[in-house]
Amino acid sequence: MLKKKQNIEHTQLLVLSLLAGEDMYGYQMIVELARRSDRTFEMKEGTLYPILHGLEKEGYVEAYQQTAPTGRVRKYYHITRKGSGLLSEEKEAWQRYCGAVNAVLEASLA
Amino acid sequence: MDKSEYIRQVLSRLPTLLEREKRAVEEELAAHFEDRMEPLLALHVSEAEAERRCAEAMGDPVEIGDALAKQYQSFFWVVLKDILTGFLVFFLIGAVIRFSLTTDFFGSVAARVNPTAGDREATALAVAVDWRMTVGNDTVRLYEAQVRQGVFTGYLCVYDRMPGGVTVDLKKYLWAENQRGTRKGVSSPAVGWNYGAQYYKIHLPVDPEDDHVTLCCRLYGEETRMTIPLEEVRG
Amino acid sequence: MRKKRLYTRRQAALRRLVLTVIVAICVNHVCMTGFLIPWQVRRLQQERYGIQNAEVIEKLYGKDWSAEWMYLMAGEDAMLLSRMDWFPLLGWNSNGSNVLDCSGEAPFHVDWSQVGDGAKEIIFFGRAEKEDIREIEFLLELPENAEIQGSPAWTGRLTADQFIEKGGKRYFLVRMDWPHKVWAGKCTMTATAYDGSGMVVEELELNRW
Repeated sequence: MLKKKQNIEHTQLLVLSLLAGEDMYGYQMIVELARRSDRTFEMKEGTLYPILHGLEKEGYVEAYQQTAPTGRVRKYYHITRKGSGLLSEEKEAWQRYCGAVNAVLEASLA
Repeated sequence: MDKSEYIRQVLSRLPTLLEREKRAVEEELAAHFEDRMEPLLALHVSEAEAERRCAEAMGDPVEIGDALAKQYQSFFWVVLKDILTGFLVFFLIGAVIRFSLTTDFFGSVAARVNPTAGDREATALAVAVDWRMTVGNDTVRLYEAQVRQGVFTGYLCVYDRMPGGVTVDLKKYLWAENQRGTRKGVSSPAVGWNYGAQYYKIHLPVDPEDDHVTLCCRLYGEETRMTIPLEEVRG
Repeated sequence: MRKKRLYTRRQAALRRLVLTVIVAICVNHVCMTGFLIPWQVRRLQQERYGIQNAEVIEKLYGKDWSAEWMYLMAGEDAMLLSRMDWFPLLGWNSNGSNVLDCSGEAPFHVDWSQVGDGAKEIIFFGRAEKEDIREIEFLLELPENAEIQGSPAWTGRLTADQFIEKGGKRYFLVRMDWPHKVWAGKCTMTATAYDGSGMVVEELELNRW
């Protein structure tokens, strides 16, 4: 199976992308991911937390507690400068990959 | 599976987490359940059913727990923090012991702010003055003086340039001279030994026509001198 | 609710490190205790004796008690034999010092110290000012009523090749075992400097008592 050259898993890339826009808590990310991908990306929700804790441990995100708009206290995640740097690199790598796949597909359809 | 059973199964896969970390995971998962159940409860789904659907959406608790445990395998930072906490306690205990046994720091501050507080022999007849000279890293300060019955009496304190710093015992190196070249060394008044500040006094004979005395210090070959006018301290 | 930052294990440990360093510096400076490194004690002793910018000439270890360290230091016009001990709960602490004023015109300056657990060692140290000094002999004669082990007179000799040259100056350091149960200060103590031809350059009495 062809694999693109990528340093992080797809889900981590998606999580970082969500956080690049605004700080979010776990359930909020699940809802937002489903909405943005038109329900293409729907994962087992519990798997989000090992990903978030892993990103936090590596320093790509940091966490804090705050009262959400719902009035409840939630653990928010915030992308760090290191995480933003990684996201830029991975976006670029992904776009190169997509470009290459599209080029091959277009050539075969031509 | 209900919420508490789900969370219990996740936590059972996390033996390497500290108690506060387990509480944090528990709170985070409970919050997720709460948010996910809210729309279902609004649609009058029973609480038990809402918890069951939520647990299903979350995925296998054993897999989630195992994946979380992988992020908490190393104890290096935990051990380091504990060692540093030990050092912190050691410093604080040492500080409490030292602070309660000595007056070095307070002595150093008092010598700058209110030197008479350190000298139990300063008399009510002495005039408050403020003459200072620098000897190495220390300041020698004449803070009270008087001339009575042909004798100049001066009260000195010595303190480090930094508050709380250590002073040199200058007793062997300090003296005063009158205009005829008569020299007298300093003596210690009745003040306790203290690294923060040293106190001395000088008695030097002076004539009525003398207008100054000179305070001198010679430390390892380097001499410092300060002229003290007598006009303001004559009784 | 205000934001409450949550820290990873690594961040919590690093924050504790910063706090410990700050507290250590404050405690060391204010309370003058709990020194973690010998340099801090040396600096304190230099301040205590007013010796500016002293450099370390030689480092010594106590013979009986390896946790006792000594530093022979020298400034422009003074020398300092600095002694310190390590205690588990108190860190490094000063164990006294000897300061030697070298600003006078003498051909050589010398001082001594009785050190070690049980005071079983004598250290002579100093500086040779005159170039023609090639040997220094130390002689200790015990008082008559002293409990003596062996000879009533002890000597130590230092030759030119044993001088320590640093910064254009010649320093010396001699260690002698002291098995007697009498304080060396009660002995008649002399140091005699000789030139290359064996002639006496200067003889100094070192008694303090």
